[in-house]
Amino acid sequence: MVNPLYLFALSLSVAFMLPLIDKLGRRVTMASVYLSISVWAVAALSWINALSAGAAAMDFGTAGFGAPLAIVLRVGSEEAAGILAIAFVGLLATRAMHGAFVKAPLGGTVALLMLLMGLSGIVLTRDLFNLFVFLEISSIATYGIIGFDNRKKALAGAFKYMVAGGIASSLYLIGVIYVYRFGDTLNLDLAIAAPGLKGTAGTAAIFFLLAALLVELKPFPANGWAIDVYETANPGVSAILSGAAATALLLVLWKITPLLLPVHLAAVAGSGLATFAAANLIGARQTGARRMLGYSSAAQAGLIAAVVALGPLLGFRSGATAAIAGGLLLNHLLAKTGLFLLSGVLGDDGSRDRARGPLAPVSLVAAGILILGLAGLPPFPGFWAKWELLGTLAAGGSWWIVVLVLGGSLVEAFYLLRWFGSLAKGRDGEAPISLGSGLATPAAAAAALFAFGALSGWTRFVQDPLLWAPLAAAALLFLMDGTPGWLKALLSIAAVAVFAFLAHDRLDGLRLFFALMLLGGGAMYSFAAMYKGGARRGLHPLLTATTLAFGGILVAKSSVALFFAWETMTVASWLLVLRGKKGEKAALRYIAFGLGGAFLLMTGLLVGGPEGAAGAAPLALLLILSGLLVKAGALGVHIWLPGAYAEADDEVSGFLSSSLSKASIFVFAAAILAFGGALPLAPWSWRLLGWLGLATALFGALYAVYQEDIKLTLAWSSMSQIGYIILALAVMNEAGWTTALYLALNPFLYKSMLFLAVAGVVLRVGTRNMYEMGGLIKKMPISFLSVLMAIIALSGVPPLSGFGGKWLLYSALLEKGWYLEAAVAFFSSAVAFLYLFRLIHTIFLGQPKLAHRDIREAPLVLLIPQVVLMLVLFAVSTFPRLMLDPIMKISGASFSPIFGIRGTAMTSPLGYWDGTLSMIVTGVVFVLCLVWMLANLHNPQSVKQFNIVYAAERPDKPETTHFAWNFYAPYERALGFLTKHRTDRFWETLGTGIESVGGALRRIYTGNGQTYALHIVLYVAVLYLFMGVL
Amino acid sequence: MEPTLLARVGYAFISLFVITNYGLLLIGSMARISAKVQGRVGQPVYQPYLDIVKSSAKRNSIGHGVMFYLGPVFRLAGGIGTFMFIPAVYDSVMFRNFSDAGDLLLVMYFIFFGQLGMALGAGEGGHPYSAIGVSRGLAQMTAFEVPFALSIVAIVIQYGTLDITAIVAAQQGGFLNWTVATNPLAVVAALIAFLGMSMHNPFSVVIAPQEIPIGPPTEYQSNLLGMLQTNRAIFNGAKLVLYMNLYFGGATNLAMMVVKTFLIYFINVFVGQSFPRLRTDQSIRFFLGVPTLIGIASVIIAAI
Repeated sequence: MVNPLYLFALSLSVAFMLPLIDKLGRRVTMASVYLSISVWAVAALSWINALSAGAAAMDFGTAGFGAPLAIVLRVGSEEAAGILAIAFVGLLATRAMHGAFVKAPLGGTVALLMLLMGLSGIVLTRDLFNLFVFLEISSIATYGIIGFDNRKKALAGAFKYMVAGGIASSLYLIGVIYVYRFGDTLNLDLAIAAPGLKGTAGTAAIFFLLAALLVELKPFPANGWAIDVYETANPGVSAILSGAAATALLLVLWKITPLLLPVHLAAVAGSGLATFAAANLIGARQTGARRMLGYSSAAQAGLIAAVVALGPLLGFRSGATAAIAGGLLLNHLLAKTGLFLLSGVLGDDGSRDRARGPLAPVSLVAAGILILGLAGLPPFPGFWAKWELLGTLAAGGSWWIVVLVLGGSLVEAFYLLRWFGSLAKGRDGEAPISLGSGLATPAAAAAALFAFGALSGWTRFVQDPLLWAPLAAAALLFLMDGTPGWLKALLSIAAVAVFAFLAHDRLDGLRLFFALMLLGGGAMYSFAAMYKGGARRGLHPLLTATTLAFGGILVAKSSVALFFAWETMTVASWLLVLRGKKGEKAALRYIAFGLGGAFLLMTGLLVGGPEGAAGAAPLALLLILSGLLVKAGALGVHIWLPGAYAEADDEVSGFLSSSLSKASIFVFAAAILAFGGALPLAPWSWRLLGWLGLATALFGALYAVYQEDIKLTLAWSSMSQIGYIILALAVMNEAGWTTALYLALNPFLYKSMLFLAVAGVVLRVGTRNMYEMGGLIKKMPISFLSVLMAIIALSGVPPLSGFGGKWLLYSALLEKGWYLEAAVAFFSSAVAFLYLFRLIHTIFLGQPKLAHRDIREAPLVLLIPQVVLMLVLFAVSTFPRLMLDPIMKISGASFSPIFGIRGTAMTSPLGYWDGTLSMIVTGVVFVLCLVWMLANLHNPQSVKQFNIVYAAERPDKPETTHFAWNFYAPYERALGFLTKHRTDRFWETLGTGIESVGGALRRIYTGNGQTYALHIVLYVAVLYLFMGVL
Repeated sequence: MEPTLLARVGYAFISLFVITNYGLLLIGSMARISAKVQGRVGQPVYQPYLDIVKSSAKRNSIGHGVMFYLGPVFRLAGGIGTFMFIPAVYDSVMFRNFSDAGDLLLVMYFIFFGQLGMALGAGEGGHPYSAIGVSRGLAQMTAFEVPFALSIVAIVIQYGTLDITAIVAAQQGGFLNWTVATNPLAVVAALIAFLGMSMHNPFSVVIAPQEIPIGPPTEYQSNLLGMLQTNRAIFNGAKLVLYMNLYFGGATNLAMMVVKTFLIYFINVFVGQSFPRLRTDQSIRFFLGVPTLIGIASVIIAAI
């Protein structure tokens, strides 16, 4: 292996020679800088190569001696990886700052080389005093490089940095002195073994070392000096400080862990977790990207430090600590480096008047990868590391840490994804920003992040090609995003078909049943998406990814695979919502709740998984169900739902509503089956769940009644439908589950018809306000027929199959003895009549608007699926057994039978329903009445618009004649108090509350260097006292 | 012995014929009774027949579109269908109708079939008053369905079945076995709901029959109006038969059915002549108040 001493020699000599080299021109200077950093990288690679081939970690003595006589440098796998990371970040940052280096005086370049060398030295050395030297070298180089391109604010930042660094150095020196006094050595390995350091005095000595390192890691609240620098320095410098310097310092922490006593470890863990929580809370308040990233850096460093300490403290199994901390660190350094560099290219300094157009597609993808990675979403290393971390913590029963980590992660994801939302949407009316060659460095970081994430996910967690299919398909479709939409739609359908073929042997019973809706629905909506011309950039990759992620959820064999697919689905569908014209705010709500739900689900999966504690099944089920209720939009946690469904593209809304919501139902059912059916939760919990479902159904319907916006009406209505399914599942017997499955599949048919028809209508009339429509029946008869059948079915009017759902539901509830539930369900289903009639009336009936005289029927690609669905709906209405036989087979597999089948009739212990006979009777009676009507129609005359019996007046304005706006005014007068959106207010207050906590914490950062110095001193004092308490 | 399909169809026509004529006469006689209460002479009892004949004989028929024409078809089919799913006379092969197509739930939901279709037809008529009427009617409907549903739940608990024939069977053997005697609270709740269903005063704002032509039928004339008038008789009859079956012991012969349904219907007229009309929001609040509490009480009592 290459002796690292040569590398130090190289860096030093190049740095000192630079003034001479510079005479040959700045290009030569830069070339030698790149070269010397690259040599480090190549050396690191060669070490990694040798180590992975089985070589042992090697110690390199200096001046021909080993420890304790001389300083020893060690090259092990952590060190090699650290050096590679530092070099990689260094190269990217140098590339990004290339222009600035060329213009600025030479000092900056020298400082850069010294900084990187210092950091590398920190990683390699095993000598505590030598460590101090390298710390000082890097600190001094840092002061230099912060100010190298003469940014005034950065200079002030550098000064504060210097003050803080000075305090940290003093602490470290005091520590070194005492360690030498009590341990008789400065070599780390000897010190670890030294008995003199185990006593009280040794504890204090080590504390000083540790305190200095912690301060360098920018803990809350002693980190104002660093945040100011992150914000004001050249983004390349911020990238090095956040990426490379944090890596070096965390490796030092890792290195000295064996030296630490439990009290020290507890102090590190406590400080790290507090930093993670507080810095994220403050980060949520930031508007400028760089300061926000600064807080996020502090938070991530805190989390990793906490993991490093928690490992030995809580006794993580061997290798877990390294894997988790390593994963988090890798994730942090790549994402943060990329994002700082990206913020530099964007010129995002937090000022309000800069250009803020949406990012161009390729740049957006790079930004997306970095941001999603940092937010801990799949398939990036942070996701896998967090899964493992929380699994380990949950298995150990460290609940409050789980809560803290998840809470912090949620807040962090919230502000990061909010930033992504603003990057994706930009300010109204501004031209898209293409980053050009500036994108190279962030893109390289993004590529590395993706590669490492995919690699670690594949090798360690999910080795199943089907679960990676969503990402692969999305990537492929994205590469051809410029091609026409129809081509991508067809490819997307083909992808779904191939997936279904490959997965068919894993789909049976419940899985097959849901595959029909999830995969079939995805393919159908991909087809329908052709109704708008053009490339429809981004739509097909995301739609396909979501659909295939459904498939992943269905075929997942392990909890981690399931959660991977779940998160993939959440992210892809969030991006779909974000694509909507005014989707930014709705998408943020969607993802905030989506992730909240996902975290609950994850905790539940971990608790109930093979590593979970025995007897944890009830808790696991509870967590999983609560997570799914959030995702399904149960009352109380539904506030993301209307916006997301309404603001997404029109066909995407249908997809979300009719397919995506079923994914939660599937996992819901699967979780209940997996955790022993009725066993874990007492009956009253199921009843409570039933009431929650019922309340969701009722309030969804009530909200739908008052909407003027057609898509909001449908959104609330979807929520209502989900409520019924939850209610039916909660019944927990064959009757309830038959009902639930029927209520999942059947509304899938008619909800899709509604959404597709509405997409056509919105396309033609160009508005979503129902009162601006009217009388479209003559222009769009097929859409009308589709909506007509859909609302008859949805309202449960016989003879269409919707009635089957009502019959099953009431029979199941009454049979169970849930009498009041049945009555409330009846009320809620009566309320559905209100919004359904309003929907069809105000759009298709009444007086057409003059502007809509030349409207055409919806495009064919929208009509085809509707016609197919109408036929299917008619078939299953006439022959309900087509649907009920397979459903009863599934529900009968888990519960003892309650419903029966007699000929064409369904029977329950209470009654019966013969769908075929009622269809025949209705059909015959209808035809007879029709014949009667036609036979007695004398001289029929069609009249023109406005020819009505209207108070002796001939109206001429559809706007004043079409009764549409505020359709149910009396209803609102009577019952409007029920729908005052209290839930919205609750969550808004909670959000504001969290923000104000962040705001209050933030106020300690005055920008004053003396204050910051005081923070550090107080931090160290408090930490010492904290340790004393332990 | 199970009758042949042809026989069943034949019986259904007889049953329909009977209920249509009975329904028309019932409407006529009630109108006359109302007139007497108000101190008028009133129309002849057979006036509903004249109305239908007159409407059907009109030389012209004004139409606004396909759905407009289909509205009355839906309405009449809804009325007839509802009746067809109810056994009109207990233990009678002739008046059993097609009640084997479904239980009480089917009837409760089929009631909406005609209303929905009619509302849609009226909607295409393009008259704002139609839509206003529908809006009021639907809003009121959601409210009176609550006490009705509660009372249904109560009797389902009581009799342990949703099968109408079985419910009637359980009430045989003297009027002390009728639901009205065994579960009076449920009957009170249901009868209050019935006032709303019948859209008589005080819940008549939906069609506001006296002052202006408002409500779904506003634009209808000619044969189309005739069909609506026919339906009114059949649909009323169907609902009355349903109430009789659920709450008043059903009927074992036609005469008993006539007497019982007449008396049930009379409640409407009695209340309607005694109380002024309520606004829609007032009636919604009314139905969701005391009647709902009575319904809940009946469910709780039955469940205990």
